[in-house]
Amino acid sequence: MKAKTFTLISFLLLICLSGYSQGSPKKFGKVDEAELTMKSYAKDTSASAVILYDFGRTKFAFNNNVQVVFERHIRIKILKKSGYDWANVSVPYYIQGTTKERVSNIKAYTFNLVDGKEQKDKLESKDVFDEKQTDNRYLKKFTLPNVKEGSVLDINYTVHSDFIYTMREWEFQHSIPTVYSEYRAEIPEYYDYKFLMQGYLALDDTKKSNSSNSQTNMLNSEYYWVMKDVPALKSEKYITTLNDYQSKIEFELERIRYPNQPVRTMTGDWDDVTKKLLQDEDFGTQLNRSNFFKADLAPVLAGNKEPVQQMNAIFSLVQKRMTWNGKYGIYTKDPIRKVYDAGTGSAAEINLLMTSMLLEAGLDAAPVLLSTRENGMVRQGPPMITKFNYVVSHVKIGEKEFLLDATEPLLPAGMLPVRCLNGIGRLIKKNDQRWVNITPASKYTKLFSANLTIAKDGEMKGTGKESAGGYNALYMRKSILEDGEDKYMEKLAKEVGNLKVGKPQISNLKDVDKALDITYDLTASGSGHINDVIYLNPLMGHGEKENPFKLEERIYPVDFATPIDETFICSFTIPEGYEIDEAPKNVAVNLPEGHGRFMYLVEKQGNQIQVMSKININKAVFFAPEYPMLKEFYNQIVAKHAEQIVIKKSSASN
Amino acid sequence: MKHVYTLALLLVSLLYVPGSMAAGNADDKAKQKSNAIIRSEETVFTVTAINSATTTFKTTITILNANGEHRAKLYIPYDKLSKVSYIKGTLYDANGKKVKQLKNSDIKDVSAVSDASLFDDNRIKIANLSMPVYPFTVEYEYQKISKNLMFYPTWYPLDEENLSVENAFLRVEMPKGMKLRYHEANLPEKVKQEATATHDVYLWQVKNLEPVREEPYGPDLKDMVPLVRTAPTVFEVDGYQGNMESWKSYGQFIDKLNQGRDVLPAETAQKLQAMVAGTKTPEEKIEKVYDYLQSKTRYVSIQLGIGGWQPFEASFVDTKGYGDCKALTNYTQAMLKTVGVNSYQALIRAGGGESDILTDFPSSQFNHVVLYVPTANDTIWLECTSQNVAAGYAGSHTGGRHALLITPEGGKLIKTPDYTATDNVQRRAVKVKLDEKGNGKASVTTLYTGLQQESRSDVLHNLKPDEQRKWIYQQTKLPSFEITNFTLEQKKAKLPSVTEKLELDLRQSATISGKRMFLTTNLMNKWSYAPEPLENRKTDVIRTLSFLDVDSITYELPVGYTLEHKPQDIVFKSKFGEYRTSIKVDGQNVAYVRVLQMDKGRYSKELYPKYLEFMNQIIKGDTQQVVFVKNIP
Repeated sequence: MKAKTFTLISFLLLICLSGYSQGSPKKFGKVDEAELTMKSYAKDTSASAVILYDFGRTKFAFNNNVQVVFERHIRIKILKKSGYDWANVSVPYYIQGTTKERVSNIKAYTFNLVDGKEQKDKLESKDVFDEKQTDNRYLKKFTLPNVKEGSVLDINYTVHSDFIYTMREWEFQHSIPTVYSEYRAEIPEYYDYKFLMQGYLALDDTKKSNSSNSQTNMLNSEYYWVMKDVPALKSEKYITTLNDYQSKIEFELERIRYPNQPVRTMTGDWDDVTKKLLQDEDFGTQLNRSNFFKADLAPVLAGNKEPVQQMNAIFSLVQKRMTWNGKYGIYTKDPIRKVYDAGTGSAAEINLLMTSMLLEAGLDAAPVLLSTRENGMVRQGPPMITKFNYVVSHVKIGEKEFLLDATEPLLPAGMLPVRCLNGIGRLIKKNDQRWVNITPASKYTKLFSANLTIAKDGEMKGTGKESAGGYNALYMRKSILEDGEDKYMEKLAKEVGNLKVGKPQISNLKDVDKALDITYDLTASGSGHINDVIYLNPLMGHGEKENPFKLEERIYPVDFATPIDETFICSFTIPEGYEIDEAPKNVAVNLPEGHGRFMYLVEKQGNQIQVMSKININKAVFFAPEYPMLKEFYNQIVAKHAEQIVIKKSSASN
Repeated sequence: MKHVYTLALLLVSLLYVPGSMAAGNADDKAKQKSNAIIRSEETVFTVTAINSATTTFKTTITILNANGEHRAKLYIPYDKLSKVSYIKGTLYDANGKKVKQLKNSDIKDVSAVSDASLFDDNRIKIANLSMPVYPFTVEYEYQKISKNLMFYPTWYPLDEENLSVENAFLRVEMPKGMKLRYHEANLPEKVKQEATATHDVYLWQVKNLEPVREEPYGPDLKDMVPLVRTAPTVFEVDGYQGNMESWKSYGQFIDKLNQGRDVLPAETAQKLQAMVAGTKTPEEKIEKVYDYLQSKTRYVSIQLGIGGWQPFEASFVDTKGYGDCKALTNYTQAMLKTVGVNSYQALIRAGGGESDILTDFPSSQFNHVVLYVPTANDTIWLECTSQNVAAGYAGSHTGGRHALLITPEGGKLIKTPDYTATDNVQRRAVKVKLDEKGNGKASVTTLYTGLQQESRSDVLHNLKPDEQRKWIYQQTKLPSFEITNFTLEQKKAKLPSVTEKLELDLRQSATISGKRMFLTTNLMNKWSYAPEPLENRKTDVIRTLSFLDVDSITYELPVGYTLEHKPQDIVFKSKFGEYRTSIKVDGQNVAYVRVLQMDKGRYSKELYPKYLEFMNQIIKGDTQQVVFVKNIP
């Protein structure tokens, strides 16, 4: 996973001091003839709409209180009917008690070319709706009038915000292409923001200059960032979240230095952040609370003396007692004592509680911050604390390190849920704060085996077994419990084509430390009369039938989340008087550097044939340049899995 | 001794648990298959006036496991025409001990504007009482006041699988002189009527309902459980009065809402007149007006209060260029009127999976409106919210069901066009040339018509070419292949069609093992699904789509192979349809034809095994392979 941060183009902003042009270069409410007559976007002729111009500017206003003022001017060309949705606009804003955002100055026009003449339709203020989504989140919503193929939409609005610690991020890239995107920020000398660029595209221009604010007599730093001809953002299979691949810039407030006041560090360096987190009432101090669980912990410690045993026992104590409420975040909302009594809590609450117990047991434990796959990647580097949304526990026993998450009832100790497998996490520990690699402690393991006896009419009878380990077991257990065991078995026991599954049995459903096994009777109907030649697909319908990678090329890495291990072993007893006429050849296909291996073996012994297929994917993430090889790897598997065994009546018995 | 006795009695009474709160006494059989049990549920709907009613709802539910957790949440939708007066809630643990009382601050109030809508006034209050230890019991009570009396309750307490009901009732109280209309289905016990001094009372009750299970190809759950629909005779909403006793009178009410909203600006009327100046037939006029609608307007849904049922004025749509289904239909009707073509709005329950309305129970059962245009020789249905559908095509969205025509004389039920197997065709011709390795080049031409062209029509109109290519990659069921070229082309007509042409490079289309070559003749239309056999099926088998697939494939093999095995041709006929294959081998050439026709219909549950057999015959048939052996030189 380390290489992931490496391929993402992450670079420090080049800052040069030079002339700084003022004002928005496109005037709101005035469009060029070329924009109106434009029929398609040459750089992406398939685009249904294109953002001609996207301009944002953030300033600070010092009136009664400090406010962040964000102005936006966006101009969109509608090229096809499928682009009409871009005429429906939502501007979110937030209210938290007396801290508020306010959207004002909403203006919008639709420009059409009618009989060669420009026609301009205005958005009327009564057509702007205010939707209260929740107590905190609101939307201003409107749609533009008379939108047709060829329309140019010009939209303008301003947001005044009391939330000065969160400057809005700026997205250069959207699901339609952007011709020109510019973001400006005038930041008073009081505030030190950290800038973070992400995505696969480079800036076309960026500048920094200094100016003085007329309202106060402080200095402003003025920044601007420009991207041109930004292609549309496109989704792919096997990715973490599309947001990870979008070109954008984000801000986090590092320090505040008001005149005549000591400097307040908001994020700072990891030493500061770690120290602060460990002292935080909603984080670190929770780790020192232990009185309330001492009575429950004592018998567990008394019964387990070895540190690893103790760790596992504490893990299962917390896992059994606590139910995850589905909430994320890195801080506790309620003290863990209350959480412990209620039996339910967020990931942070449950895992900080567990960490506290592990510490109380004398183990070398600490919390780890991470960002879930949905939430997007974090980068090694200075702290951006708002990027994290999850907490797990870290335990060091001797030289061995473990990561624990007690939110999932079906997870064995030491394995993290798939949502956590996102590269790296940050260990929050006194004197040992550092990045830790989050490598999957287990694979996605699948084993299918069958023992079958073939009759002379081609009928086959025997038993089959599916065994799931690691992440596959977690996935299977979840879906069996969701369906209910009875219903799941009923669904399994059926006939598809000529294959029939009967009397299924599930074992180790609740015993999460063991592989989950499903066994059943397996029959395949024959022709009803004696065949001289029997053709046999030896994987009994369990092989790979289609290549999961169909597209010619790939821009983003393929992220499987976990390594994969799939094995099929089928043994056949052939009818008396028959012999093998032909069987697939043995093969072994390797991906470079041992990242994957496919093995296919056929063994014959007397009237027995055994066919074994094994697929190993040994790393979770493959990068775009590796894609063709991965695709070809699966091509070979699919082709091999289609091959057949031919059994023939031996000439001797004729 | 006596002393001890009283103490024991006291203890017992202190520990006494109200029966319905303790989770233990639910009977075990129901419990096994249930995730939650409704212990008791009371719905009281009191009509206080022609334009006002109060619903009081009270429920006690025991949640048995995590899969029943969602029942611990209470959702109460409301809008501008309704108000929630109060919500109460209490949580009890397994022993019936009170754990928590719902506080006002626990109740969330969120917007429920649907994704399809830009803005409306729908909101939801959400209360959530839950604990991590199962079982537990929640008790909720709320009252809601409605000023929209177009809607009376539809009641079916057993509203999902894995739920059981111990006791539930619906009580409807009508002021004397106002008649209640109702429709009962699957009820063990019919209505009981009584009266108070001021009201006529209707009471329905169910007891000990066991969980039901939806079966593959079976009816909706709603059609399997006890269900009561109620509706008013006379009603009022936002100052508009109506009568729902017949479809005719309901239609009159809708007509009244539409009155006077069809006025177009003079300038637009002139433009339309000029537009149709050269046309000869009404059909041509309709087409011109419909084209104009599709180029000028788009669907934007804004529904507030009575605006949920009353269209925007035609002049509004004319200036803004957008509107919802009512507004756009009303606008189209106004435009047609201007050019001298008569048309009628038709209310309908739209949607691919929707069942038809209940024709013998006039009530508000619709979610959409379309336009019905009768001409001398024909009738044309217009879907006014679509940017690209052809005039006259109702499709899976509105086809094959009843619609309520709104005429000045009142409402009238009429059926929309239905689509049969020969309307919904997938006709495919393929030429494959194979090389020595079993790889091949294929040219595939497929004609899709009717309902079978809809997904491709959507892709053609809504996706960009590179996304179309991606979509075709996902849709094409072949082991490994590349698309070297593709085209999609639509013919707009009353029965539209899409022609898809693909040029493919196939990897190992035939499998070569040693001296043999295996060729699975069905290239890309293999059936693979068969549902589980049910030992004791309870419901009819329902098929909702009629279709015909014809695949004709010719393979040209590399030279030097001799036929070893050719499967027999298949003809399999059943009540559900017909499946046929034929394979002809002529030297290097293999010609394969597969025909599958299935019909929609309702079949008795006893035929379910036959239905599975039919599917399994297709699955088996689709794996037919021809085997060749390499000639030894």
